[in-house]
Amino acid sequence: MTDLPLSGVSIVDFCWIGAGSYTTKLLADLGADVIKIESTRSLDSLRLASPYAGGIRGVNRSGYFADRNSSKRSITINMKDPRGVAIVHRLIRDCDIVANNFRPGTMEKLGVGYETLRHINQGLIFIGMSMNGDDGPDRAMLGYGITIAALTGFLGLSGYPDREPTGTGTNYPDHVPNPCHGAFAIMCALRHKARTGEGQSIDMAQTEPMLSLMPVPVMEHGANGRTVGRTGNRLAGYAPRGVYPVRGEDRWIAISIGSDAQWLALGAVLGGDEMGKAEWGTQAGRLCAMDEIDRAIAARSADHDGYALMQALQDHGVPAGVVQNAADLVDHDPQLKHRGHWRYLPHSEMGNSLYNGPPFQFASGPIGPRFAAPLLGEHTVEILTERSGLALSDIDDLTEQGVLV
Amino acid sequence: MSDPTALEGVQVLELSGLYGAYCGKLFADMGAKVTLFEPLSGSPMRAKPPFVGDRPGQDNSLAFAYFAANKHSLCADLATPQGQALLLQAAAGADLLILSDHPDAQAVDLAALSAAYPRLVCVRITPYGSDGPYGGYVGDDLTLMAMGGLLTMAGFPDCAPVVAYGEQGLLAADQFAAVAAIAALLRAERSGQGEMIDISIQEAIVMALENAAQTYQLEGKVRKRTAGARRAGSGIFTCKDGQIYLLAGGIGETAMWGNFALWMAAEQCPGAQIFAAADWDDTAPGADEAFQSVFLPFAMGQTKDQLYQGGKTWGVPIAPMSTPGDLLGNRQLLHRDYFVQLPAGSPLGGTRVPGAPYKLSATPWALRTPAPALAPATQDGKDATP
Repeated sequence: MTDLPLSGVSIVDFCWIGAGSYTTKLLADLGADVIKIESTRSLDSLRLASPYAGGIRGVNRSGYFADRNSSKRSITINMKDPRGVAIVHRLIRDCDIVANNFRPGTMEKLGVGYETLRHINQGLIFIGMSMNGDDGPDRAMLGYGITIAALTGFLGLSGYPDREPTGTGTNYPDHVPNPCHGAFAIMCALRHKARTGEGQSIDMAQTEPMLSLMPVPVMEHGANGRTVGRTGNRLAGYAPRGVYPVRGEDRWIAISIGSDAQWLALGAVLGGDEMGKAEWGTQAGRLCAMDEIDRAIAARSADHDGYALMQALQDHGVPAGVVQNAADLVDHDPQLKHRGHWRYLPHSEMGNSLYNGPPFQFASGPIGPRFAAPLLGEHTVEILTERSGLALSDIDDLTEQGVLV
Repeated sequence: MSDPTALEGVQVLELSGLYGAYCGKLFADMGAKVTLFEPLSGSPMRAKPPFVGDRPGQDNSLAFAYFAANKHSLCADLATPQGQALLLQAAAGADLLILSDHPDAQAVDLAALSAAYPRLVCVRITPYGSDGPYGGYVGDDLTLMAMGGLLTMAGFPDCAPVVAYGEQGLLAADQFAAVAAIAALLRAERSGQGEMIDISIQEAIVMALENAAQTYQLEGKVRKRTAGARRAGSGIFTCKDGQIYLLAGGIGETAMWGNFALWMAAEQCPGAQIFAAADWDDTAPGADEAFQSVFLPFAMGQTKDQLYQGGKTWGVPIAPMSTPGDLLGNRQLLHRDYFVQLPAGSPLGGTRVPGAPYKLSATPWALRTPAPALAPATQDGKDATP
């Protein structure tokens, strides 16, 4: 049994809601000990976001919260009380990383700003993940994944050219760009600390990773003087590339043709004279008739079972994929089953509930959620007896006095 | 004297194609030496449109200029023994090897490399993972976004789902690959133990499903695409000079609706008293129409930026639907010097590109060198240094 990649790394986590909690979850699943600082007085609002186990609302019942907080421990502390702040300072003295995704200035107001903490812990890595970053005229702006998608142009560029933008239908920047960039930056800082002993602060504006993932619009603007627009499912280099109906209610298949050979294979699988038109045999020819080709494919695909059509096309080396929904993925997808993607972890209020495993597998051993999301304050006593030297009677008194709540 | 870098001394060998490059870029920009191992004809990304001046050419692809900046190039034919020897030699000095859709990926024997160099961390990125029922399937961004479950939530219910801009599914895999690789690298430096990491692009996309999987498991509901059917106070709205996105409803329990009502009252927006009413229900029938009848006339008199600044003052999440021109002139991004110029030395030198995605105080992100020219085929393992 080898140790996990981040075994021995300790994080005091002030993150809440989306991207921040997902960042520290990635680190917790990789082996870091993440202590989530919470309070019954000021809840992480994701604890009150659906879905709930059994459809019953409760602070320990949100599946959304659970998936974003696997492998973490929770402690409740009233940061409005100076004794609460002192206890947090004690935890931070021995940790490697402090993380938050508040607006700039909030950590300072709570008594846990970087300038204060660096004197308590000289090797500390401190990351703030606000919408717009620590400095600048718009630093105070409040942001969510969807408003970040709008501000960065990601939302405006996603959709059909002749209709309103549609984006991903989710708060996309919260789920991949910001958690992955945040986790990567923290681990870069961990390497520097391991080599030099030096800590540092990391300022990650949540707009900026998303922008780093879409360089072409600004480069087109600068280098070619062109403003790119929405192109729906089409993309340069492919003809056709689209989403077509298959048998069943609201069932679809995505097909991307990147070569003339793939086009011939698509025609052979779908059949019909129209698909064999000579002028459509080359990409240049197909590019002149994209709407007509899309209609021809759709007319034929609609009679096929989506999975059977996908298999037939894949047998010919044609990129094709059924548009799968959550039920398909959770209950049926044989590949996700093969990779053990879905994990069911026991939780005292939620029962066995569903977590994502990571998209990476390590040959040395299993990686992923180690235990279910914590109940609110579940580990208060455990953490304080282990890390702060408080006796059980002190903990009881502080709870009674509204400090550990 | 230049700043210290976080990944100083880390050697990365990148065998990528149309994906995998962002993983290498994350390492290169933080100071690792990343060598792009190219086939004789060059990385497929060199041929990816659009091109500067619309002229295809080895150094003219916008994507290549961005994703390969800060990297070195090494060129070899992996179908030959010399090419294989060169790969073995390059891997000997490497800490991390990234393998994705390199045209000769089949000729890379990761198991042999990993056996030869036990400290090496290898990351393999494939559409569905390297084995299993779909292990042999091919995929591009669109088909993988379909199979990964994100596409089903994107678009209008009355027509086919529509994929997000910018091949984000492929980039999602690159990002998770970087996270896994650096975690394994930290352990390798601590213990001498290398790793073999297998990434599925489909599965990286599954990570982006928000609460959809749990909503199905816990409440039996399947999330679908819902564009156009909105909750009053949330969505895209037209204003004087474009569009904005307003999120006055919200996630969980928030005070944002109250803030919005106060803002509209302060603006003396006619009819805004309905927003402050105790019985206002943003999901009630007719609420969206009522909302629009009050908000739209106000919004039409305001610019994107005025509305954004209003949201900042009143604590309401709202954002301009930015164009690329807006982004290059965005005062916050300018203040942070976010966009940087590609270094001189390539046809795209001087072009502004996205810069640091994070600011590390002691070991900052830095763009140092342009994307490398295609190195001449070499026998001795020397690479072209830009």
